[in-house]
Amino acid sequence: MTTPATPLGARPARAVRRRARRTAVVPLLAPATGAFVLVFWVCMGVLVVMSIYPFLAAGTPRVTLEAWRRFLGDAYYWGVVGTTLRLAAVVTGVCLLLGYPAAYAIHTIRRPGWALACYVVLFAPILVSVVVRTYGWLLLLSPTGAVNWVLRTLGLVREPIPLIFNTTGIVIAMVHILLPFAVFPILSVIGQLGGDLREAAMDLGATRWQTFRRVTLPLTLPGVVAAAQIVFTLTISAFVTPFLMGGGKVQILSGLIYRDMEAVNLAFASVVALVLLGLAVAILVASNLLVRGTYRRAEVPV
Amino acid sequence: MLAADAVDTVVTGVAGEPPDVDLRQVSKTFGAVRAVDRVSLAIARGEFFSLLGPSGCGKTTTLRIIGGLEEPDEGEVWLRGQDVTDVPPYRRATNMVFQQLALFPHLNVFENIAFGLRLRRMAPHLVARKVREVLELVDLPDYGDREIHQLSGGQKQRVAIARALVNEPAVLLLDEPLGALDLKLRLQMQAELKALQHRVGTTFVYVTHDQGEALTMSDRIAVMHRGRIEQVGTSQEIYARPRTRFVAAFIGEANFLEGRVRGTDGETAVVEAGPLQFVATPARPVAAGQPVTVSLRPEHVKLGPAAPARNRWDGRIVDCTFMGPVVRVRVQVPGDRVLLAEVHNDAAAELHPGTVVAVGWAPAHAVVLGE
Repeated sequence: MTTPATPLGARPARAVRRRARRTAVVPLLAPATGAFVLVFWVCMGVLVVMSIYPFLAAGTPRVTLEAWRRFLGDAYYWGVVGTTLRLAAVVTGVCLLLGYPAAYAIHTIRRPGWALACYVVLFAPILVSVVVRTYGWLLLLSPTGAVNWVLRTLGLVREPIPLIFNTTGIVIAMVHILLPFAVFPILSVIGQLGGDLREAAMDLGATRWQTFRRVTLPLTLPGVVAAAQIVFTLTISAFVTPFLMGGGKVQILSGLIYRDMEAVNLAFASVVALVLLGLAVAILVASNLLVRGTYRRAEVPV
Repeated sequence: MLAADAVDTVVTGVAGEPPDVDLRQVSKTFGAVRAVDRVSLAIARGEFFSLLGPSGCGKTTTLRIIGGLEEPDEGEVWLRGQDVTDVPPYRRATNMVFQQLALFPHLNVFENIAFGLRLRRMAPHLVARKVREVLELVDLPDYGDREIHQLSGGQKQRVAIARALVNEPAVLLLDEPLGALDLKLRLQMQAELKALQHRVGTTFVYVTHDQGEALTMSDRIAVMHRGRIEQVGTSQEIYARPRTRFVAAFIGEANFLEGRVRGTDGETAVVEAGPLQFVATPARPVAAGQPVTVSLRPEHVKLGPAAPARNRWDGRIVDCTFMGPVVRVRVQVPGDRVLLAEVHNDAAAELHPGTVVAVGWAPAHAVVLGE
């Protein structure tokens, strides 16, 4: 030890060491923080500037609110916002309706082999490109595809029902792609729920349904909300699947961005991108506020 | 068999009234393990009844079978004269206090306790009154608005008991409810629980692995071992008259002497264990020539002048261990046996390793086990 032997001398040395320990986090945080600040916040700034000062467009750039005025003043664009939100709401709803029972069922599986099989079935599609999966759905759902063939062979329909190039097709493909993102948060919350709480409810006179409604559901609600937020934000910002499954017939915000980027209408593309971001933030904040008041207690560990 | 004998055990309580809990030859198997093996039990109204045994002896499974949380493979469960074997837990007149308490974290104290009442669609003003009453009963008045995570361990314990008791069950089932508490709080809660049971008069079935807890709290105890009931009786009966070697070893401590019955007059038996020949008391009828095990509590092994005239030998002290109020003395008796004796520390001044003392025990304290 180089520290002086006097007790007084030990103090500054210790303080230095303590300060060194505290500043040690800086080099650890720097790369991630730097990348995040550059990629996200700087780009966001560029986007905002571009929406009112299209410096990359042809001609002499000048500050103008023209793009904002065009978007906010046109009922068509409000319609696109509505379509986007409706689509996200439907996909989120279907994902929760399918995902909650699935998560619950996986949780109750006792045999490790079967649980693993369920995980593989549910999560393996994530490894396949979204484009590939969407083309797969196009083939399955097209008027000459497998689904319509089965329906017609069974005599359930006479004419093939239109399942692609409309909202139905987008919802089917989006639910398939986003279902794992709904199951996982719910599964992790159900996993924390002790089985003895359910037993206690039944012991106190609750039937299975009452136990679910009064104990299991309220205690797993934080997971449901997290799942809904993830699926909702991923849906409103999804591009490839709605673009391919919609076939240009269904217009949503991400499609608008693509259209205006192609047309080098960067000011308008920036406006749509910022509107999309604003919607996502608004939905997240609103759902958090809604949940916080009602279910604060549920987040307290058992 | 011993399990079958339990049926014959005298049931205290009002004559002619069916027992509150009546298990008839109940068995339950998990995989290859027979957790509960032909258990029969009758528990009278108002009894504080303990199921006592080491972990894995089937006591918790037996309790869960009474509550309906576990279905027996064989046998019947009767509550107050009704066969409830196929009745689900939510329609049984039993309530359970769980080992992990299982209080609902998303509800406050009031709503936790009101849970069962609300399910029965009780009028709100009655719910409020009953919750208030039971909170006073468990000494937690004005705690209704607290959140569960704001409570201490002992308070959570009381809320769990209140949540079960407020439903006025025929039988309250308690699964090691004090296991998570520290020793001091545990002793305090033992006394409170016993007093509470006395006040409300509800039948308590209490599962514990702690023999001290069972001895101090229970009216009667069933000692379980490997899914079977070894003995049912009051604390004094089980301690003073253990029927099997397991019971004698599990409840307190015991010296065991293996020997053979020389003769018997019904009340007492003369047992020969090597060079020792002594008078003992059989827990069940024995015949001359039968090989037996005799159980002898350390505090009943008397040394020096305290040793009785009969059953008396010279022994050599091996070592002494000071334990505070008592001194534990290991003493070698004829036949190269070492017995453990426990004497009060004021009587232990003369005892030193190597000295020879008189060793003896009263015939009533040497219990011939039924194996």
